[in-house]
Amino acid sequence: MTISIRHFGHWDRPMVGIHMAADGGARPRARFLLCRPLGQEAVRSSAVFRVAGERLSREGVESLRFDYHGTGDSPGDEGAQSLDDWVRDTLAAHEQLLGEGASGGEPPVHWFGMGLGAVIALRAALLAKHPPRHLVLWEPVFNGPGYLQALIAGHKAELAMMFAQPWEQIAASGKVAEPTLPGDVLGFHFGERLVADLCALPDLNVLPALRRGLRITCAVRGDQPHPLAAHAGLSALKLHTVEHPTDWMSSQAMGTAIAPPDIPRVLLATLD
Amino acid sequence: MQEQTRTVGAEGHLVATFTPAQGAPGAAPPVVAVLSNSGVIPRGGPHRINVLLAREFAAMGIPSVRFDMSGLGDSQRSDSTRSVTEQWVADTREVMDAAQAQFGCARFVMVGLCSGAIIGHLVALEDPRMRAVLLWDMYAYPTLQSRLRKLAFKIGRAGLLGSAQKAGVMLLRKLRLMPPDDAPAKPKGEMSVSPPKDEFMGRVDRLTNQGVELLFAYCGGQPEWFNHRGQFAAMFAGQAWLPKVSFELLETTDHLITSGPAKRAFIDMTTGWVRERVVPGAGRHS
Repeated sequence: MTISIRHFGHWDRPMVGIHMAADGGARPRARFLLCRPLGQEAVRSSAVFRVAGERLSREGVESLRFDYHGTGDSPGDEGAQSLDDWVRDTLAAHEQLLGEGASGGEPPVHWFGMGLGAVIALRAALLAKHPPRHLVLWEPVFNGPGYLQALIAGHKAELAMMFAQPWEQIAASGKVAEPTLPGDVLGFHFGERLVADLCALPDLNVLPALRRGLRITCAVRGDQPHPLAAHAGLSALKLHTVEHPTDWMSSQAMGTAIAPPDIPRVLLATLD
Repeated sequence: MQEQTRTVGAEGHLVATFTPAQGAPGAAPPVVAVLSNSGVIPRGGPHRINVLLAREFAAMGIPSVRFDMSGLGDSQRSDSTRSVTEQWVADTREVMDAAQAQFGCARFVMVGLCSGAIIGHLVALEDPRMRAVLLWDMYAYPTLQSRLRKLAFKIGRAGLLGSAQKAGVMLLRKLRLMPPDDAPAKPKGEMSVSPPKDEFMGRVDRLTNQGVELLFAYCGGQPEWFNHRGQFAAMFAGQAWLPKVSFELLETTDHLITSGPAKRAFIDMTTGWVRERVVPGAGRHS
């Protein structure tokens, strides 16, 4: 299994990615672009992306996972980003992946996006000159304001766990301050542009992408009605119930890498 | 500042990001900072603290390398049959080799976060190039006062009634008037077990005799484990090395350095220690 590093992106938005070739040096049967979620969720899901890349490689699939500009290991100011910026980053990563390898009989390209990364991927798929064939949306953010509320709640829950006291007690002790947006929440700086984007984020709509000819798999937790259930009859849309629900905003399982096995399984199913 | 990420090590399986120092190109740096995982958190560190530290160090004229140990973050598992701890020590030394070749400096300081602190001090015992280690939330040993404070904290959190109920359940279980708690004990990993105190004190004695600078730093979010400023001197009372090491308690900072002020406090503590004890006179380029 060969990993190598890719430095790519527009000159003012450099990014770092990890490329995994198909195992054994064979010509890949497909390519997968892996789009991370944001902030604490990206940290907590890092094992998911490594394990998915390794599994895909063993199955003859090449992959590229990357950090959007201003996040993870990529350069950039975390607080100066917007959703549109990251959509463009995703398109740049897609171009990078398309440019890998030899020409002639190009293998199909699929995308996997998790959390906010799924929303970004869905938007980017509408703009891509050569769109992906299949889009896997894993626990996508369905509603921007709801996501912002979840971040605030996650921040309080995380610090309550860290200090082993209810939020009200640690707030009263002066150890923590009430989180605000824009601002530092759950360890990451959410700047004005990003917060404005999230406040205005409409409900997730997969129909334009389906009309563009993409196949979509959307995975959500079983403890909520599937927001896309009304479209369940569409042949190009597959709904999946997450088998191992995980709170990606919490470090509760500190010391334990979590990589739910149904993620690589669903990714491999797209190859059929 | 042009960061460079690449794979390093004899197996080529370790992913490391090299951050050069700002200013004075071509001059040999005084020390190279080593940053790595905290538990299973990738090389960017908890809430990206390693990325922020790398930029801060660069402004001080100190290059750094942050990397994922085998099987963590983006690094793949090694083919070796070493134990996890042995492998991560070997990984760190391989990354130091690569950083030495890149930056032309054979002196290292490691910011060891939690499990990274364990690896950092073990590397320093093996490799004389490791000249300083920050030990964040590493081993702590209970003292009489820390036990009393822990008890007071637990009573304060649960309330008198809740505490009395818990004590009652414990008593009934002890008297076998209630079935035992059959919840399985949480498995402890190789990194979660503190060595016997004498053994650890012996290691610190060796390191300080070799001139290795150590900063023992603790967060304020572990009241059941390290809960007051005096605990450090009390748990290592009488040790000849005690005056040679540094100690900090960041009372408003949690273990994973979550909030903005917590990050600032951690960065200030780290850079202050480096300026004072590791590279006296290290400045900040604009």
